[in-house]
Amino acid sequence: MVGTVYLVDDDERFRHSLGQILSSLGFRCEEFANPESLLAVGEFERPGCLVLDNRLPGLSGLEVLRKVCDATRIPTILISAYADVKLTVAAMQAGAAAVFEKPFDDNEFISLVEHLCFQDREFSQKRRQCKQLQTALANLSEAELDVLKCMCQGLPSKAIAHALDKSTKAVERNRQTLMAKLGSSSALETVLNVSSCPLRRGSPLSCLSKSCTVTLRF
Amino acid sequence: MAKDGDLAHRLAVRSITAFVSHEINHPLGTISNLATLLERRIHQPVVRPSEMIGELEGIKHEIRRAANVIKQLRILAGTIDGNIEAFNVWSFLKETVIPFRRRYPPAVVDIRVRCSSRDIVATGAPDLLHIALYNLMLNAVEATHDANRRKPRIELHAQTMGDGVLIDVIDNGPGVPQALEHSLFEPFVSGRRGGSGLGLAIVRDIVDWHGGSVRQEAAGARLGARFRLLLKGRNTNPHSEEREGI
Repeated sequence: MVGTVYLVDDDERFRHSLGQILSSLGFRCEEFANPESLLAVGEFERPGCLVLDNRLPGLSGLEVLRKVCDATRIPTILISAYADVKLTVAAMQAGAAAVFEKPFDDNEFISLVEHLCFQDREFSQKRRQCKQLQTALANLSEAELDVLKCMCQGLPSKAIAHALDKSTKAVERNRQTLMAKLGSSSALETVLNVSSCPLRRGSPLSCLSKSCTVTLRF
Repeated sequence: MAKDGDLAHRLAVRSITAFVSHEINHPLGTISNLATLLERRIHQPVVRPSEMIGELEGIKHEIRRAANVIKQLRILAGTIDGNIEAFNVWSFLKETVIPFRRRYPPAVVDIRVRCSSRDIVATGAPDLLHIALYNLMLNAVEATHDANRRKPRIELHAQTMGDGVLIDVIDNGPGVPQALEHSLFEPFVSGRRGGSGLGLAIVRDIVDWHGGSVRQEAAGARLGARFRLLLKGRNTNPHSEEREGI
């Protein structure tokens, strides 16, 4: 399975023909005649890609893009029969991966869909890792978190005990439980795991605050 | 003065470009897809010609759709060509609804068709009048969708009036804004962002060519706009009862 393509166009014949091309290449294709039925889909299958016609009954493709892209970060291609500079700029700002003008080169379109689904697969994996890590971090107690932060600075147990004004035994205990909670077998693994975020630069430890948009979005 | 003329000219060209791009590129996009599908079929180890008929029919249909756009442009340019004949109004309404339904299925738009009799016959060029009625319905749906986001409902009513046939297109939209009331049927006048302002101008040109009339009025409380199309015609069976359908 290469990925799921969500196709939204009120032109039935266009939608069906594009859907058939994509299906013949192994994509799973879901077709929607109007934006309402797309928005009714709770969660998109990932890896996936959204293909939106700009002129739709009700909401315009651009409005749908803003709604969906913000909430799910699913890669999106906007299609228009008349793509002027204004529309293209607005689409890119709203987060579209590309804008295609009808009629378009099917090969170019397909290779982009493949590329976007591939990217989305990587992104989904990273997002899963991020989620796991965040859940594990949320399970740590205050004391364990303090010890973890000191471990990241490379301090040995004795120095941590001194810095946190605790007994070495208590620090050792915290180290053991936090490593178990994070599923790592060594202090080095623990530190490596929490010092690079799968989704963005920086440490996942700083994501614990609500400032991490990545975790908040999913 | 010359500057105003230039600006008007540029706006007109821009509107027509947008209209033609929209209307022609949609069918071209579909034709391109169908051609790709046929190409793939041909390269398969077993080629079954009978499996390609669907794609070919689709291509032909989309070509007719594109040709229809040219016809509309010619109407605007004042070079209308049509065959006048007597036609049944009830069948005419049903035939206009079919292609409209393809674009707007019942889940998206409610359509009700009512004819005071199934024996009303009008005189005119049905293929041109199909375009006019289709444009009026499109206008109704788009105005309703844009304004209040509720499900558009279109009512088509046909009845005889004197020695003519009156066809009403009633929607549940916000009605026509006062500022547009007098210029509604002028080309390049649109109440919608991105509208070409050509749809209703084409309607008027078609109706004028028939020697009929088209006007707009508020449809009444809790209703939107009502477009009244008056054509030549009569009821061939004055004793027939009122019927509803679709």
